[in-house]
Amino acid sequence: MWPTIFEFNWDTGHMIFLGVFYSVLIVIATALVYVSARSIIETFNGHEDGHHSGAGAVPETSEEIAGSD
Amino acid sequence: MSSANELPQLERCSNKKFLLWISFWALLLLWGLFGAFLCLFKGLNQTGMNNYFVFGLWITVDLAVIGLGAGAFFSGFLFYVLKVDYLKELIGAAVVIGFICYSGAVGMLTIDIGQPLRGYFSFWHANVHSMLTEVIFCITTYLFVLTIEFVPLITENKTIREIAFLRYFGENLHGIMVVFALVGTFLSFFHQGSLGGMFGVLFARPFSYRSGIAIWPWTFFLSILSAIAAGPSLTTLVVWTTQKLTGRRLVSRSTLSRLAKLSAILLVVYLVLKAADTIYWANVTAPSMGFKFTSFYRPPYGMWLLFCEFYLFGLVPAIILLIPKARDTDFWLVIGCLFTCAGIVINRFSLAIQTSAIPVLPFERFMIYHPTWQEWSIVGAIIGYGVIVFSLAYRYLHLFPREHELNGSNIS
Repeated sequence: MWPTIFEFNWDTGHMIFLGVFYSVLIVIATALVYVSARSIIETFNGHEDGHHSGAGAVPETSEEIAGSD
Repeated sequence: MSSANELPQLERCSNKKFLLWISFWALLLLWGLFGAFLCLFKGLNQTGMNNYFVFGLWITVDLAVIGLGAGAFFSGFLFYVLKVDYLKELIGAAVVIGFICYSGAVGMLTIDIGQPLRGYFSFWHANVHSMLTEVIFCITTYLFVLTIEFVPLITENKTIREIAFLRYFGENLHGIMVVFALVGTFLSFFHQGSLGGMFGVLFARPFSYRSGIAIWPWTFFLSILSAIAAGPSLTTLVVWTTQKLTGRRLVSRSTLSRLAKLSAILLVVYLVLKAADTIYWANVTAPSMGFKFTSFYRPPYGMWLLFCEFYLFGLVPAIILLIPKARDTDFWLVIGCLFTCAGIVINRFSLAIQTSAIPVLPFERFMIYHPTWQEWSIVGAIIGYGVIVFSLAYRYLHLFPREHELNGSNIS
């Protein structure tokens, strides 16, 4: 998992596999940090009424969902 | 996600009735915990596994529930990425089902590895040439992603929403859910594939060995296809069952039919490719390794397994669910989805058990695997755990956004 671990080699397999794995972890961690930071800011600065945090791209109300049937 | 003032008060059964319902499943869970204790305390000699069957009932169930749990990533991909809007009605339920399947599978694997304290070895000393490494990395990471997807549902709870940070956290998480849906799809694609692929690369096991593309055997791709075909069927079944048990309409009937149709179309694609793969394997791959197709099928793992997988639990449900009138009828919808799920279980059983049962050396004989009660108890515990989590989620969370509208006159 780390270059310091016994039997770790800087070979193609390790670089590709762990490179992709760590990329995925970085994406998840970045998203979580962004959400946490934004939530902390909104907690202290207040939250605008009717604001839906960018989720407006998907149907929110039952009427909208029903309309897509 | 709805804002606080939009969340309706939904009718639920009394606490007494709910506790009675939960207590039965809790007993099943406790029985499994006792079995797990025996396996951890005394060792894997408590199981029916041996030098022939290193994969037993637990791996079969693991493969099956992970395949059936594919409804979560596939629904998430269709809804958040491809904007298939009708899935909004049950995307929450699909996430909870996926979470239950994956957490149950990881829990079961914890017992299966014998020494859970050394579970981190598979991460720390990663064997990057093993498909199992990819599976363990992807399953654990995807379980984490599913947990993240579960959070906005939990933070919609009336009491939790009173805490401002958690409310905003849930809403913001929901706002970028497309990122997690994409990550989940990426992870699922690889681990669903590798769960089938790890049998396909077993050169010394001609029953499961397959040719393929580059490092991926055909079973890699077939495994993904079968999972995305069966996943929506399990979601349909669970939602339908919840409706019947609670006596409430949770999603529109057309949504269940559309999901079943999607499942059937994918099942047909899977069956065509699976048939082509089986014909090539039976006529080219297996004979080239000195085996006859018929030599792989002996009682109790006879031809009936292949018949069930292809026809009874493959072609039959596909045809049923492709007929509009049939899938619009509750009876045939349930039969179709149930048979589709059974098909994937049999497929995973063949991969995990039948592969090990067939002799590959001259002095070996055809083996039969008998799971012990301890193994069955842990399977029971996973079912009990799943029912409890889903029941709690249904009772305390807002899983079905149209429930309020569809049960207008019954709102308390």
